[in-house]
Amino acid sequence: MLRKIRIPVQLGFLLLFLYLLIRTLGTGEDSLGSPVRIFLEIDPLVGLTTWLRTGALHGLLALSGITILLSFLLGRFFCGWVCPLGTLSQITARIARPRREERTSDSWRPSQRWKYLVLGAVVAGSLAGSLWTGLLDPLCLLIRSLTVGFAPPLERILRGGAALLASGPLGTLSEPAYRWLRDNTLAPRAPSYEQSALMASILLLLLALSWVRRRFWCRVLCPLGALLGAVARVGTLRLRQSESACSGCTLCTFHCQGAADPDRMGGWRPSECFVCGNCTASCAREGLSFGFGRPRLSAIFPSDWVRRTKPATTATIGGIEVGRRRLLIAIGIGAISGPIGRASPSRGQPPASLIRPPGAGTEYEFLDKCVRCGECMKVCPGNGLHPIALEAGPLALWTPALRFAHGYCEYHCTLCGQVCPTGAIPLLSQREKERTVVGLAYVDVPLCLPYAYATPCIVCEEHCPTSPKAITLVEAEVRGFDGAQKSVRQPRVDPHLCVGCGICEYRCPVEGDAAIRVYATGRTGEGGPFDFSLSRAAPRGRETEEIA
Amino acid sequence: MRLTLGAAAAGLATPLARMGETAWAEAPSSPLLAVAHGPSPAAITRAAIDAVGGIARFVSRGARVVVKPNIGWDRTPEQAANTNPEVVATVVRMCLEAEAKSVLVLDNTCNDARRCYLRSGIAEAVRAAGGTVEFFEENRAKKMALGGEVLKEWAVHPSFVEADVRINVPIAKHHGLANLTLGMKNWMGAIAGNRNRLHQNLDASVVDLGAFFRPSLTVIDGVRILTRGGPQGGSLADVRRLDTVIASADPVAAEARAVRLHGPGAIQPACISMAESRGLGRSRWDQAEERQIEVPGS
Ligand code: SF4
Ligand code: SF4
Ligand code: SF4
Repeated sequence: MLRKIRIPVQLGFLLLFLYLLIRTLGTGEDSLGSPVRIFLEIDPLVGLTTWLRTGALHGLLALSGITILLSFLLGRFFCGWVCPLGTLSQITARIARPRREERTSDSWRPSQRWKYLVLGAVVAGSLAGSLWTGLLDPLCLLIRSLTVGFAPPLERILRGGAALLASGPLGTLSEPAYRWLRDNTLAPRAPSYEQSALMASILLLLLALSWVRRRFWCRVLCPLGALLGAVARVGTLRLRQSESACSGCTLCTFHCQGAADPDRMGGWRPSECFVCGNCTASCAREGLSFGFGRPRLSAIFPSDWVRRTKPATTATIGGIEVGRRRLLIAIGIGAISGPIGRASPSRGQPPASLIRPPGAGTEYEFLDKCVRCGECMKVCPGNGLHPIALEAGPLALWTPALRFAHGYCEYHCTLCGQVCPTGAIPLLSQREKERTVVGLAYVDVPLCLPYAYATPCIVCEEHCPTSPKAITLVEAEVRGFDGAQKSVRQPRVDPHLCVGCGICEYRCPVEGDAAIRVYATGRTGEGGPFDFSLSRAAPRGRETEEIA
Repeated sequence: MRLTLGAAAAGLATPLARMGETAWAEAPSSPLLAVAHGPSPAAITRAAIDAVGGIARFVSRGARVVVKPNIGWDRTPEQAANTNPEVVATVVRMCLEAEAKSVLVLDNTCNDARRCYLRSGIAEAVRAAGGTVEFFEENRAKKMALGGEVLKEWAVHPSFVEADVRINVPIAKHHGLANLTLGMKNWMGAIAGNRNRLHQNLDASVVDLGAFFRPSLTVIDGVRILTRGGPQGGSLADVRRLDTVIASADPVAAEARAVRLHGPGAIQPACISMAESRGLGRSRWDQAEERQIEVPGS
């Protein structure tokens, strides 16, 4: 019964998740208008760690408290019914291992305690200055991998395939279908991302682990699963096992997704149970059923802490025994990751080529909040935001930065602040956004065509969106290669007007290094080697009339 | 770093289907060009087109029409960076009245296409008029032999080549390099790839584009013109309201006439005389060949 309800609900959540991810797409309107980040907002690991790191819960993150409460009542239902990565792991396992005739049991193994060590390290890290959530939280990981790793190749295949079919005999059938998909799911310009192949590989690897053991990620590694498991352990959900009905066939444990040992009388593990209902459905003698009991609050504290009857060699998280030494090591690793991570780049000054999304405070303010979910990268209409590698130190791995070789920041756009679940990128009004400085453009005179080759080119000036334009053209008399005197217009950037949107760098026709490039100097709220923020405080001649 | 045009030319050129040589030979009764003036953009667009022979002269029944406005920038109609939406919609509506099979409107934009199509008001106006709006799909463009003087081959969106009738509907505005950007430069929105390289030889390039695309009809939007800060403007202080639309079967004449909208001192872009010398049209005409129409508001 439970299983029969669970399967459609679970598929429904997977589809909802994918739908919201696809809808994380600008329409041209100023506001996105749909709650695309809701899965991240109900994720208690995101809520807990960013709250520990910043002392505040942004926006709807408090919703994740509801998930905790529900898990207290219903166990790890989130893992079994809601989490899209769990569902995908399960589907992978199913594809690879069709039901076998010969049934072997699949009972709990000690490796399933590792996830508590991962959780310990993540929580300790967020207290000590490094927010690891983004690397290991299943929702962040999945959204980022799908956005950065899978969407671009899939889109390429779709567009390329449709173009091929269009000219063939199937064109009359394929074109309408393609047009519908294109108009409802794709941006006009196909995005591409840095580190795309790596992101895809990570997800493929995690899913492939399901071939080693079913739902390996959920059982062994997932820190969110560990958190919910600890809550489930002290909560009210119970599996009622009827000793008289049990014939000892172990079918229930064979079908159990979580390796929660439903066949062990009195040994069922609530912290591992996904409430998938496979066990109750598989028991031919109806010996199993779910019910509720009194909360096991005592499980929070291990009995030996109270009685000290034996030497303390184990520690517990929500009553789950993990080796105390191992837990200390995990917490230690998490705790020193903060100071170690913050040692580089020195003084928290990332390289000047690193341009953060608009409004993203100082580097540490940003790193304290960004969970690297990649929502901003998905929504960015200019395909400007990409996950970075290690250039800004280990704490910044896979956080977003503007890469003007691939895209730019659309002047009137405020979408990244609308989708960011933690406020790492603040929600700016359009007017505020237009005044938010992310960097400053520099003309590379030896590369710039009018300077270096006396060749006309005004592309940067043409595209500069500020009004008045931050790029002015200065008429200059130069000698061409033929020795003749000629007049060219050379671009010059006014640092008081430039916001660093980077469309000039992106559109500059000089390939390789563009001849005009944006560096993170003097961005809003931060100094820098060339800090124009003081003179920018009183913008000179910026457009006065309201832009609708 | 590639500095020369055409260096990218690979052997991929698809043989250019001969672009339809639509009969824009002047019908005896129609003037060379018409300049309509009045408060309603729709009414003056209609009047100007009617005065040069009516839409039926250009669009025959069952024709597939592509209309190319300027939708390049994330700006509102008041900012005069994109073609006026009512002008575009009127052209579309007239084509459909002439029983065109389809009227497609698209542009390869400079800002995010979704924002441009929306904020320009063009997508909505065209749809309301019964036309089709599409985004420019880069991967559908095909490398074609343009046979130009500087543009030997370039990737072109097939919608522009496959159409029976091309109608160019640019807006008259200032541009930092071309001084004024008018008709022929508008065709940059019909091609794909690194178009910004064309700026190195802008005049010759746009003449090549004008020669390749050969519109049947050119309708220049002078409802509002951008006098400075072009091509995308942003400041309403740079916008002047002229309430004018120019129509002509001769793209060079239309463009040359539109230069005068910017006042007597406006410098004629070099592409106009280059186009004339290549036989694309005339930049001089008798006063008798021009019809002025005043369309008072109701
Ligand atoms: S900045 Fe981007 S990647 Fe980071 S939390 Fe916000 S939306 Fe996610
Ligand atoms: S980086 Fe700029 S263009 Fe990209 S989503 Fe943010 S505001 Fe929009
Ligand atoms: S980055 Fe370039 S285009 Fe953007 S405001 Fe600065 S000068 Fe203008």
